[in-house]
Amino acid sequence: MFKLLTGRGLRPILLFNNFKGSIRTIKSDARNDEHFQTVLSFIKDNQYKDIDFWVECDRKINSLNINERFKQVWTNALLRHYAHQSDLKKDDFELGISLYDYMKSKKVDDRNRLTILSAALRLCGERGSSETDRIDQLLTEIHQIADFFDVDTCQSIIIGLSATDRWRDGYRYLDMAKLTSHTLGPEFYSPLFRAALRFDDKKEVDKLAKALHEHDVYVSEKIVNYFIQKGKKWLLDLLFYYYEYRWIPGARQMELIKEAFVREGYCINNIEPRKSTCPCCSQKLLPLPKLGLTDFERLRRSFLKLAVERDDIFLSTTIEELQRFITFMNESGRFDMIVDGLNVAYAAPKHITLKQRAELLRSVINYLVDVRRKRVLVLGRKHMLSWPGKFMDEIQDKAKCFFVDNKSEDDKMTLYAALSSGRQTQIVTLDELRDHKYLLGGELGLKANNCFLRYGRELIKYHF
Amino acid sequence: MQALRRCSHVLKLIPTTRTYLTNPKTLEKRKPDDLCYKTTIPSPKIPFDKITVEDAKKILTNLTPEEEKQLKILKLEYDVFFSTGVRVPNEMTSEMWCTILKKPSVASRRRMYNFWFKTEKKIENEKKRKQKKALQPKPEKSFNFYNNIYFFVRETTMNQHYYNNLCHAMRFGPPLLFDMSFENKMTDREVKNFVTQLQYSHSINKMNQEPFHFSFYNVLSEGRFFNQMHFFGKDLSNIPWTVSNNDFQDIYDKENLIYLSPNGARTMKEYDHNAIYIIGGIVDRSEEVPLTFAKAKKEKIRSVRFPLERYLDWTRGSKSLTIDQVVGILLRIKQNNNNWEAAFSEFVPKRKTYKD
Repeated sequence: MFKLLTGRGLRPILLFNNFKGSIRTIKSDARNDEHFQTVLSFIKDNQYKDIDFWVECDRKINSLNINERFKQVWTNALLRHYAHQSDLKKDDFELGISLYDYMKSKKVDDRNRLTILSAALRLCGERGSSETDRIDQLLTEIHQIADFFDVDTCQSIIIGLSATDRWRDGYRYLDMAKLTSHTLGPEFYSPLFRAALRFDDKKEVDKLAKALHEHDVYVSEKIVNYFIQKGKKWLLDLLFYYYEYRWIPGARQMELIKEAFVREGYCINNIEPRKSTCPCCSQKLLPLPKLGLTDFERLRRSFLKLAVERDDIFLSTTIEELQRFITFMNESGRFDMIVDGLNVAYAAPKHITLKQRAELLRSVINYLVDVRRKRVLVLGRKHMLSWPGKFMDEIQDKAKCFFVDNKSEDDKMTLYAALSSGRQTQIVTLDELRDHKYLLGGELGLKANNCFLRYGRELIKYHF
Repeated sequence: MQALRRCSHVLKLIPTTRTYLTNPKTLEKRKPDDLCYKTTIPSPKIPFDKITVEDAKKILTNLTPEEEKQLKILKLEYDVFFSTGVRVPNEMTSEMWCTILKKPSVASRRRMYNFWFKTEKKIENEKKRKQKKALQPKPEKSFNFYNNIYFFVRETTMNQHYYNNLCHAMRFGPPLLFDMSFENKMTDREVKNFVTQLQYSHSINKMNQEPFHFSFYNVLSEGRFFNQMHFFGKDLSNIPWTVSNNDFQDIYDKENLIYLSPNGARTMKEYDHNAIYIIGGIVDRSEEVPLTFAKAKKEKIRSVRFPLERYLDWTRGSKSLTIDQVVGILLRIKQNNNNWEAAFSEFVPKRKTYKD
């Protein structure tokens, strides 16, 4: 069903990124303050505390030699510390609730009331469906303050609502958050996923996945964990969404999914990319969808038009050079392979001499021409003409060469040559050529990203 | 000691012989309209960033219903930030709300609040520092400015000498052209940074015996450059610069022009006294895109870069220098007969060639 691409030697582009870390959120609140650790040191046991304990804490902190802003703000910061944890445990929840009870007893401005209520909503929402009464009470109190809320409170309201039956009201608050910020992250969608999965509602999950795709939002670890907790059926649906919407998961997410399958009793084998059958049950595997002919034609037309007519030509080359290249292409015809000469020669480690780099290039081109019987184009810069003669003469005999000024870039020319030569040409680089995505558009519109990515999967990368 | 220093400095400026090595043919085509800055265009009264109290009131009363909703939400957001410890100023005026309304995202708003918080704290801390200093005993004056043998030179007399040199350069001397056509690609902060760099370069230039004549071309009359240049101390009409909307190619031939850029085609070996140099008016903090090189290729002007690798061991930092550094290097080379090492050691910052 799903091809895990690993292999040795010539391997296509890996399907998942090697980005193993989680994205760090910047905490510019009082939680990031240097004195916050002293507050945490007062609380040693994670148990429910009485109001007297918090009163003593307040007295201790007010006696310290700290700026006054922090003294007014430390309770809010502590509450948010408990509310923003990813895996909320029972002890932390009870600590948070005790803090909230203490803060309710104090007299508080409207300013602080909003933050207290939103943090408490988040706490109860993360806890689960056992706190529905408290959540209803908090919501009525919040609506007494205002009708329209900002981004932070909208997020906490969505989390709170996801624990109750009326989680669909969360869509309203999603639209409200878009009034003041043009992009929203996956933290707004993950509680909705959680609620939809709790009720086993397939239509809503489909709707949410489509919304993620439309608004260009990435799939976070939390969402993957919610799917894993449900079981095997929803895991397979997750993988289907990856396939349909062409999402590329991170390495950590793939490890989690792998462990989940192993727990269910499956054994996972690494599949070689060229085989199309499963090694266990010898069933045919679905291949990744390649670029169709119509999409390719659209890519080609939009690129050829835009690359030539832009004002930004002078940032990389000149008009005369481009026209020289276009006449060269019209005279020489179509190619099977296009080699980015400098990229291949400089892909090797740094302590190699120039002679060895030229030898590398020569060996690559000998392999492509003699063994694979392909028609090759080599692109480079004019200083390559001064490389050792015995290697360069052989390269120029076997393959056609085009050399560009020493100060201009050859990325556009590789793409131009590849797209004009036809559907089956391949480019040999280590460069992912992502800089030139902006040149597409027009006819393709929103599909430009996907088309370019799918086209990029057919590039070859050499690994040393 | 200060008076001694000033004396010797002024004595150097009094010209004994003045020789300008520019080709007079390049200066023949200079028209009188371009030489001096005319006061037909009214000078701006407010910097482009700031909003007056009256304008702010007008804006806040004439909001669309969408913007009114947004304002209410932003006020709530400000309260939330204040109560959670985010760095936010204590008081917000109506002008500040107008600037915050224009910001598109949460992160840009946070950065603006952080900036205002810092300025508030700066003002508070300066007050405290002044109060502390007032309590301490004042030191006695070490130098008596009156009743002295030494000739006390005031700043006005120094400026008179400097501006005399500049006016002479305006009529007979070599011009330095600034190409200001890149205004669309710079942010507000970069425009202000450019003007502060101009301040430094102006001071370096005027103190020299043979200064350049600064001339700015492709300036938009309602643009941000023109607005900001009025606010760096004095009115523009008092400074002998040329500021015009025209293109420099209408006046000077392409054969005589040389464009300085960090990505130039050739490295410079010596200062060419027959040529006129162009500097691109860019401060690129965000991206390093070869804009000046692209323009030189488009207009088919010779482009040139400094020989930094030949005379310096570069360790870190970008090789695009600021405008005051470039102007200083050009002036030194003109005088010292192409002594690049002395010019670089004086103007290129030491952190770029620092070795542990």
